[in-house]
Amino acid sequence: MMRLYKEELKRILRTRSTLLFLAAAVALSVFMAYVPITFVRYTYEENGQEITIKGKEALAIRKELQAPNAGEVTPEKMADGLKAYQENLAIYGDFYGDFPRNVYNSEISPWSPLVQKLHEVTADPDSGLARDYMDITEDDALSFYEHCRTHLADLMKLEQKNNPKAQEIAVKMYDKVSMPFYYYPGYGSSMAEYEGFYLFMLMFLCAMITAPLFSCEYQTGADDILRSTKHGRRKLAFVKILAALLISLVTFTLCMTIFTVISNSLFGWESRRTSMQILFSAVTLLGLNMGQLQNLVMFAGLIALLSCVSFILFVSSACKNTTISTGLTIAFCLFPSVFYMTAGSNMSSYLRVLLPSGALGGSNAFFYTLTYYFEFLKIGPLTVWTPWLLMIVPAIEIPVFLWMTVRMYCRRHM
Amino acid sequence: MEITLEHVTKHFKDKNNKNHPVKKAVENVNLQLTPGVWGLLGANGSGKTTLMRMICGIMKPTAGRICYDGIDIEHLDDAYRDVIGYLPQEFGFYPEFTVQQYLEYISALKGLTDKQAKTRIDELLTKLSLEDVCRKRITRLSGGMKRRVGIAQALLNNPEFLVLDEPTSGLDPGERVRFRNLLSEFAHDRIVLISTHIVSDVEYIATQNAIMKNGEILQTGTTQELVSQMHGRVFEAIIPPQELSMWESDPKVQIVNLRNEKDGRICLRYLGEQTDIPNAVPQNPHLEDLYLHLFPKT
Repeated sequence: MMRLYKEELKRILRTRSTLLFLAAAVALSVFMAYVPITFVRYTYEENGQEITIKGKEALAIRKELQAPNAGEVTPEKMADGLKAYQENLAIYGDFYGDFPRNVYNSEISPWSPLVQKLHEVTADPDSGLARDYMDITEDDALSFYEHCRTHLADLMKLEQKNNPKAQEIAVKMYDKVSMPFYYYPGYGSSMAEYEGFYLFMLMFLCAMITAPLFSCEYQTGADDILRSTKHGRRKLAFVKILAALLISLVTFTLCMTIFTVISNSLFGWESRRTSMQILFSAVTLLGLNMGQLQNLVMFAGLIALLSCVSFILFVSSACKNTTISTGLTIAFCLFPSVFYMTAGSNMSSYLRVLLPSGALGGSNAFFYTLTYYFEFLKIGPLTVWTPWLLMIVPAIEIPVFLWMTVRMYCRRHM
Repeated sequence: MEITLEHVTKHFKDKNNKNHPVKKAVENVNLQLTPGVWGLLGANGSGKTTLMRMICGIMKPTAGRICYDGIDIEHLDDAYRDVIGYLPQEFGFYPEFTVQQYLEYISALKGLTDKQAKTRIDELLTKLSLEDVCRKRITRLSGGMKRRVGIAQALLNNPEFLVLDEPTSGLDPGERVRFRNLLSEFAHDRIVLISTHIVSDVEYIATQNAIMKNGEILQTGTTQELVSQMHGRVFEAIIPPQELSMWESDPKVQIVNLRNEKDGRICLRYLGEQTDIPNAVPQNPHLEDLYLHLFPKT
């Protein structure tokens, strides 16, 4: 069995398309980890001219500017930040017109990650609209964490109007979020978004490697000989499945290690300690820092990837040629994203949860659901937070799809 | 050791034919295969390949059962597949494989250890004259070479029961002779079942034959037994060329062979009655004569 497993692994790794997809996965891990830093800009004025610095250099300046505010996000820091905002707004009106760039850089920018959160949690409870910075008081700033809890409850009333159970769960979850928050400059939300998008690419590439595993045999006619051998049925099906899962797992581990090391080295490992509530919504329901968020997104991505690979194995075992299995793989990987974007109904939320690739892609992705949405789904009497479902359902589907693959392969031609 | 086929039947759904939605590929076949070379003769479409796939356990019969030493092969499962070697009529290879890599892969599927595989592969590469091409990709080999690789994979596990579906198609005459000799040598104490529509492939080496038509076994027996039916039905006559078209259109005369003589006349070998063509001389029948008698259209 072990010998067969090695031979099958060697066979898959000898295939030109596999090598191509693996090379693409590694190259993309470097590219996608590097891209977010190219978006970092720092613009200042010199002799009446605007000069923009990009990339690592810009990030270093930004980090230096925000360094005094690094560490625990205290209500006092919030109050100081608010004061700086209000003083400058009193002089220059708003940030969009003639606000001097250098003043913004030195007076506003260091406080913006914190004050924006204060701005968010002091929104109008009925409409959800943010108040003017000038209307926020020092007391509001000093009771920032109380505002966070109140805002969450208000927001849930707006988002989950007809689902009191969801409101209750959200409040309970948020009660567990540890406060105060922490902020360490460096990380931007774009880096985490790129991680999510790269995970989708990785899933797609692993699915493409998997797509011809069974269908190729049917197409080339190699199948009859394999099936007439001692281990050519269930054992071969198992071996193919294990090989596909191992290749996907190793590819995932290697590529995500490259991605994580590069991106964290560029943005700074210390910024992994930033609370996710500072970079995303202040009322995000999980009490994680950015490092933990990165790991959780990776873990959810791994489950989705393995679930997707398991499903593609089943598709491959059911298709008579590689063209059909590859076509279905592409369609299947893209479908949840396209459907979620276009349909936007409650049904698309349920469908996304059911589809093994539903946790990766565009706006449907686990990362966005975790950080931006406050989505709960009803399953009979239960109300469950969608990100949990996006991890649990694909995990349950893995053994189901693998069993279906073995069954489909063994019963073919019979 | 014996393979027994009891009332083996295979029906397929024929979606294209609304009047006959069920296509009978194999119908109530009963056969007892004992050690030796068995020739399974039949025209294209007679059901040979379907029968062989069922014998190899790749396909399940719609009805009936196939037993190996009295035990249903379905129950034996991989224990049965461990003793068979199968070469399908049409087969493919993974395009990335060299001959050596392919044989290593199949040997793993057949449960051979690394050491056993190495020894057996070297042996077969030599026997089938494939040493020079063992590092070449199979896709780059000629049709005959590919067929030899196919034969090699079937022999890897030293099978007790070898099933070869049209094994000689694509082989040149020299290769056919070598292949026949290899099989004769191999068949000792084993069952070798060869399906073919090329009668000469099995005529000299088959100890038993089964003739299949429209999914049914018409006759079984040794070559001599089968051929004996044709005694007094095969003749040779020499005719002037202008008479050829007349005899060709005569429904009583089935021309087997034509040969131009030096004097311009034509020597006809035919199946029919002695009196059909004047001066016809009786000939010793061959298996091919019986085959053409049973499958006149081919």
